[in-house]
Amino acid sequence: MKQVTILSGKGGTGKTSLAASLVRLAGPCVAVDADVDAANLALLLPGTDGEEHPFVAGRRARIEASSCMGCLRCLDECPFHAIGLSPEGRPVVDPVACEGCGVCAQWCTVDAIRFDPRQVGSWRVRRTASGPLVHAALDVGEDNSGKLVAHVRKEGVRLAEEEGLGLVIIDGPPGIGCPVHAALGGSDLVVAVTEPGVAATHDLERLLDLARWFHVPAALVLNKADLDFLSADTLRRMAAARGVPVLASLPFLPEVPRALARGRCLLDVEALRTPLRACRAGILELLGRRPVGAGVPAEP
Amino acid sequence: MRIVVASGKGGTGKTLVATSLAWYRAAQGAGVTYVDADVEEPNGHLFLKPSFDATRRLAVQVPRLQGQCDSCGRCQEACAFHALLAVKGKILVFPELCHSCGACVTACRADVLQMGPREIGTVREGRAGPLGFRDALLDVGEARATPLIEAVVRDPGEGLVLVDAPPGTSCPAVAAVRGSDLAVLVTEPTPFGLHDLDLAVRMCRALKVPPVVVVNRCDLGEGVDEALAGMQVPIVARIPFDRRIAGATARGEIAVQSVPGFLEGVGGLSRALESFLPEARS
Repeated sequence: MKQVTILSGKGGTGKTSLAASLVRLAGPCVAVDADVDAANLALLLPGTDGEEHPFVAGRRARIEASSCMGCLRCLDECPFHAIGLSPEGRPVVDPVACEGCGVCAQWCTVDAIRFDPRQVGSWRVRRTASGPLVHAALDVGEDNSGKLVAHVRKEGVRLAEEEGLGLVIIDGPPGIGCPVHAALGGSDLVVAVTEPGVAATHDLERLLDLARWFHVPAALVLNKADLDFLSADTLRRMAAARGVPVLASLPFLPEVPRALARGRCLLDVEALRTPLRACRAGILELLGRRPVGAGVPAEP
Repeated sequence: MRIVVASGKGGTGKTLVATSLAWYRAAQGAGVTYVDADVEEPNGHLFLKPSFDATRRLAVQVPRLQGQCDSCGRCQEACAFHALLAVKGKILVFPELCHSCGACVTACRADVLQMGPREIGTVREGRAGPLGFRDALLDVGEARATPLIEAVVRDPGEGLVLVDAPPGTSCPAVAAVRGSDLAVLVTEPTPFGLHDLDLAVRMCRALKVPPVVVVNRCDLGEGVDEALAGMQVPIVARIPFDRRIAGATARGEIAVQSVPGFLEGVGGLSRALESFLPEARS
């Protein structure tokens, strides 16, 4: 079984619409929405959702008013400045700022601090026409997005094994930080979706550096390629210099945002079908060529 | 006064709005500092092209063994993030998991753990014409962006501080938005844009930062007014899709300078924001 992670560095280059199209073209396969702070893949892959599972990670401090003597040592020692004063002068925990480190409890002389498990989001499995989709939602303002990404990926791999599906397509988050590491580490291929322009190019270089750091091979999809020919050319030369293959170039078409606005994906735009099929074929070829990844059994 | 430009969904035009607004207000003679808080993928410098007067490496504090460990294991027990292991007189630290809280140092029986610096990125400061400029670059391979975001956002700037936030609604976005006087949320009229805008509005409200909305590429979709009425957030500007803006942005130009008509649009946005700033409301 192989895992392909769709990433971009810069946001808004078309990760999710490409991921949905690839899932539909390559299905049946497992789809994983690993952009848990702004999960959108489910908007393009209709189906029936299964049970919602809470996701608990970390903990949050709570001060028991009945035991607290009001010495306020916790307020001074909290490294995240997460303890404030109530109008009555009692210490109160800011639930967003608290990281559950436990420093307050180390200094509390009367053992008045308790820790509650922190539900940071939830995840569920949707049955779509192209196979199962594991999607999640991180609660607004929560930490631990990397852990939730790791969890939905693990569920995706488990489903693929259980159902005998050979491919897991992971729609990743923007950036190059913790949730991207969780979406990328141990994957068999990164498909980097980019668009012409100084910003996307700059961000792509940092993403390709990160992929190299994780020893995951990368391939490129050039989206909205005709928006600026000069910078599209710069991107192609950069990819060639790095030995990163370009799987497809998709033109900018005003029909695309309009199709997305109606919940359709790139595949529903006639002019994009041929390059998208080329993209799918290129991915399968790269996966076949590559030696099998760590601990993942070879396809029969 | 600090205004943060945020979005939820990536690629909706945060940097376009933040750099245009900063450039416009500075051209009007106001003191403005542009702060790029998207430390994973900062792009503001590509458009404003600042000259940097100062760069510094930013470090977070992580525990280090400074003496003979007696393997009591209390540090490992105290660490809520499972960022260290005590094995046979040695301490294994996993710095990418460490939150720098120092609980391990307090817990250490032999008093041989100390916090020491670990560099995670670079903060750069300078000027772009009349604008103050600050950004930061997270080192490739580093996982935790928030300490770097807090470092660039926390420092004061001259005049109005305009913060360009990272996408999303989790800890990096929270670190950029927290403490701002106003949040300008940039969205697009697609189901993705509106879905993520709803999350961004909820994040702002949880942080007690009032949100207003800019609708970018407003003619490439529908359903914005209905969605925004439901969220009860005012729209302060609508930017129609314009290939010239897309082209100028691709080339790293400031669209305000190179696309006729865009300047007036940004001027309208700048004036619309006035009535939402704290002085006007009080």
